[in-house]
Amino acid sequence: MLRAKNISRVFPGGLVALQGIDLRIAEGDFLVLLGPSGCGKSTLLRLIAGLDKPQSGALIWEQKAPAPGGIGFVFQDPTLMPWATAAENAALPLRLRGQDTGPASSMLTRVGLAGFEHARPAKLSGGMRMRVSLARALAPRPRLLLMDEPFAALDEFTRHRLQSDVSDLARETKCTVVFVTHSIYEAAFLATRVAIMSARPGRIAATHDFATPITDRLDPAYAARVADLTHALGALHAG
Amino acid sequence: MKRFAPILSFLATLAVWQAFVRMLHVPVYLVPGPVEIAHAFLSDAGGLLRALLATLSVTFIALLAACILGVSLACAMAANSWARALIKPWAIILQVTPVVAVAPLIVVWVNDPFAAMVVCATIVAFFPIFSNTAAGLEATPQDLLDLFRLNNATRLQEIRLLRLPAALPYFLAGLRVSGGLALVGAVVAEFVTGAGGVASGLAFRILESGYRLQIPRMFACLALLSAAGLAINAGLGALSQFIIRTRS
Repeated sequence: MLRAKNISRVFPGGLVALQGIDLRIAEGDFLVLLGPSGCGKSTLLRLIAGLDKPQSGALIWEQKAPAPGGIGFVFQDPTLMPWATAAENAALPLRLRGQDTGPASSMLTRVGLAGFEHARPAKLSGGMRMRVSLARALAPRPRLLLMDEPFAALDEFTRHRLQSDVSDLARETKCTVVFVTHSIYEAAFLATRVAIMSARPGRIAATHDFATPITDRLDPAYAARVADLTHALGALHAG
Repeated sequence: MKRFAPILSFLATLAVWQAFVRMLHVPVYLVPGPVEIAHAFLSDAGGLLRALLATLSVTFIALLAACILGVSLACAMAANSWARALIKPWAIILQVTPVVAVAPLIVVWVNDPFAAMVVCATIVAFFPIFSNTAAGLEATPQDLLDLFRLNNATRLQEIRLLRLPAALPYFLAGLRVSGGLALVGAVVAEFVTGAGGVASGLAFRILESGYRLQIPRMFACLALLSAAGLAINAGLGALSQFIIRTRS
């Protein structure tokens, strides 16, 4: 779907955030970018979204680049408009493009918010707000969904439920996902592919491919993946 | 009990004031007591309330004009960097130039005294609304702006659907400040234009009472102006709270 070739991003003041990033995102991948805080994961996500430009290298779309709205983005915070209802927030991308906002209502129901369409963000819990954010990103049926540590601020129970929901939704909608996290457990559960990034300047230190996604945390394969990733990160630190 | 503290303190001040002027036999042309002031108000209540209405009509028209001008220019600045470069210096010049110094010029340029007073009061009331709205339009969360960019939103959509609603609390804070300033501007404008006659405002009544040494009447006008200022402040505060509450 998309190939990053030798991408570098240097911030004003000379801070090298990313250096020599080579990465391929295949159609249908659930790619997790795993690495410590400040290693440039979010910067890479913004470059993929087209919200920022690299200093060198290129991002090459293997087919046609997605049309506006073809990329969904879920931010670290739910990033909802506090004056708008859950339905209005979820329908925003469709409204901006003058499209029918019906799919937003069905997506709100799909993420478990039926009956909360008219609630404003202040009346919703943290997990519910993140569900609205997810519905907003998925309502236009994007080809590519980018998620920037969306569950980092949530409690363990909510996080587990949302991880399962995202995994199911990605399969249902056949959407390619790039998911940023610094949690090995989250990466092991969600990913079909993990790209481990080194500390600043961010580089892709290793990639791990997993044949099938995990559906049950009690599956021994999940524990094996956690062990694999822990080992890989340990090797990275030792090296 | 705490709720009534301001009222109790106000009543106590009036009582001390009355006792002070009675016991020290302060002449009424220097400091009249609250009773004399109330008497002066009641003896010409109709005339003073008509004058208050005249001042308030200048105040509210100026406040409306300041809202339209302030919000439009702040939006133009948010929409276009050229507009920002062109508008900002003039807005600051208007803010730092005392309106008392500009008012005689406005009276010369604008033939109609009522329109001249509205222009003066608008200049005074304009800046808080303009600067607060401009700050609010700039303070929109970056992630939401990114979301609009990702969806190829037009500049107009960005301002209408995102920046303006995000700037509403800032605008309301500015409106509350401007409400009081519009009244100050209206009074200053009346002093400068010296607009008299039947439709004259409270500032002219203050001047008139001063010339005739009707000091209790002068105090009654002042009390009416203070009450009007308090009412404007409280009204705009309640309106702000209502709007913020209904949209959160």
